[in-house]
Amino acid sequence: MNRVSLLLILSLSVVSLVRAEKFDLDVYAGKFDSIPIGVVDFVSTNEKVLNGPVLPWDVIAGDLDFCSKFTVVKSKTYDSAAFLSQSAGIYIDGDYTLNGTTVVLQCYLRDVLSKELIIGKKYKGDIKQMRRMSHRYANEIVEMLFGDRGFFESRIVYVKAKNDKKAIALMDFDGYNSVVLTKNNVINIFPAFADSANILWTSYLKGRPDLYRGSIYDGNYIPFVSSKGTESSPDVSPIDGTIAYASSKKGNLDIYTCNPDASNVKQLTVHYGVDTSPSWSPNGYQMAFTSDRSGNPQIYIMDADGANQRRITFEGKYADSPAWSPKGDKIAYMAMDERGKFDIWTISPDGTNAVKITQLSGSNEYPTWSPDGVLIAFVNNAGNYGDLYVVKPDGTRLRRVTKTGDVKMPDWSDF
Amino acid sequence: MEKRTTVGSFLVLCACVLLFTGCGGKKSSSIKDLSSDYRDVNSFADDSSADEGFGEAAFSEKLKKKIAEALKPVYFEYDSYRLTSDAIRQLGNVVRLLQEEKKLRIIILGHCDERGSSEYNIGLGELRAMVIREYLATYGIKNIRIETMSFGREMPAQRSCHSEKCHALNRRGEFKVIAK
Repeated sequence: MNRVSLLLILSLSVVSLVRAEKFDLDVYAGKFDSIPIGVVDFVSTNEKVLNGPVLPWDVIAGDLDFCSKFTVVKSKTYDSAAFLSQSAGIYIDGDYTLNGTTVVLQCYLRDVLSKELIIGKKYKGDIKQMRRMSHRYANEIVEMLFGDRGFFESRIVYVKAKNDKKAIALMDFDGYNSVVLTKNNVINIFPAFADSANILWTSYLKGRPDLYRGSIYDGNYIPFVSSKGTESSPDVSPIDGTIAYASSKKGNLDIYTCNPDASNVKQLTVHYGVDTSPSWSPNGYQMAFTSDRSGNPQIYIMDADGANQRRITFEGKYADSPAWSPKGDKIAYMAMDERGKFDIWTISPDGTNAVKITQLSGSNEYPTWSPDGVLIAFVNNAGNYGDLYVVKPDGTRLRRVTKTGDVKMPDWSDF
Repeated sequence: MEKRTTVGSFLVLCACVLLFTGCGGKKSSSIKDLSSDYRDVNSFADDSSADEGFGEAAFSEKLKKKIAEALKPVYFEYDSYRLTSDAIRQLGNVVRLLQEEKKLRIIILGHCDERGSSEYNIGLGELRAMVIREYLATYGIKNIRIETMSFGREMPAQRSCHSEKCHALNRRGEFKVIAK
């Protein structure tokens, strides 16, 4: 549902009820950088009460806070004074019905002053899926208020690392529901989503670092691209699924592309040295990559056919892991300082506006953008431990996502 | 107040239903059943047995000892794949072994220290292995006897290094005999 129909509904309701004033969501949303919103504990419709660990209203509140577009005011019950004292003009409440393993959720977004309904949704599902049912409603809220999709059903694929063991694992965007995908005993690195159901990654399964492709639902995987050398760092064009990757089949790492079925292999860079880490622009016309042709690794961009290769980072002596933002206006990357620690930076594709984003101590590595381009996720390494964080490109809304200490090389899925 | 709200909500819901049925002509269901929306994630079957590895061939004890003494790692400087004079001295032992044992085939494994990025280091490890192979070729060791592979920074000899001395032990080219 879009804003126009929402406003229509609001107008209709106003007409029906002859209310004094219409609640104008556009005006309300436009007043804030992040929209203040109340979230009230849901109530049971029968005697069966939820005791956690998953409480839908906590999941919804957590989602809205996470995406950085809201300032959440939580309250056990409806409390207009508490909401209004923090400028929250809208709030969410709801109820639930437990029946065996089935749960029915009714979620409502309302106007604080009148308690008038703005958007209500009713979901039914298995109680094990209650987090996702709650994510679904949080997505509705974002779509309603911003016209953009919410990313609360997105996932992050990453390397779960412990000592020399490196497995590919999957988790929800908020760190929940972590599942290890590769159960082998070899090194598995550089995971990337091919689409919502399939991943690409580099595994030493046959002794050498080759590219594999696996379905996260079927549990099946196939060798994808292999050679006598290395195949690494896959990235998939958001436009037509063309896969860019690095291969050393001719001796040193260069960047290649192939079709989604691994056919039509083309070599894009021809250079003695290391060319790696391709990252597609959102329109599929260009890609950012890393090259050490200047003497040390720096970020470059080129056209999708390899033409117009040009360097865009000049500060520092070591930059890698470029990630082109979904909006196209920025490239995030990691750059090493004089102490050997990485930080996350962003730069415009034309090479201007290089800005350091991270201030956390430890090494800040492997940026990946949220599907809406609002947040950058990255790994903060302290000693041997790596955990996922998110932050806005202006450095605000920093949040630690995992506490397992075993996260490396994250790749955030599409919505 | 409470009653008015309920009535209000009801009216808004009615408006919603009217709107949807009016515009789409599609039957709107008030409840969205998500039961079949979510599929479980399944792990990939363990296929480790497919790992061919580069195991030691069945050699005599004497030859095994000779190989172990000759095939010691070669070390590199930071972010470099240039052979140092120490490295060249060590490669002399490798050359002698391969010249004497003409049937031996080896793989060179390029490694890096843990300070850089995984992407770049897997490329750097590859270049380290290649430069060793090229050096051996200048002594007439045919490329067909030598394979190369990179582990980048993924298999450090020393973990969690805090000193340059420690990092230096990770920037290496290792040698293994190819079994078959």
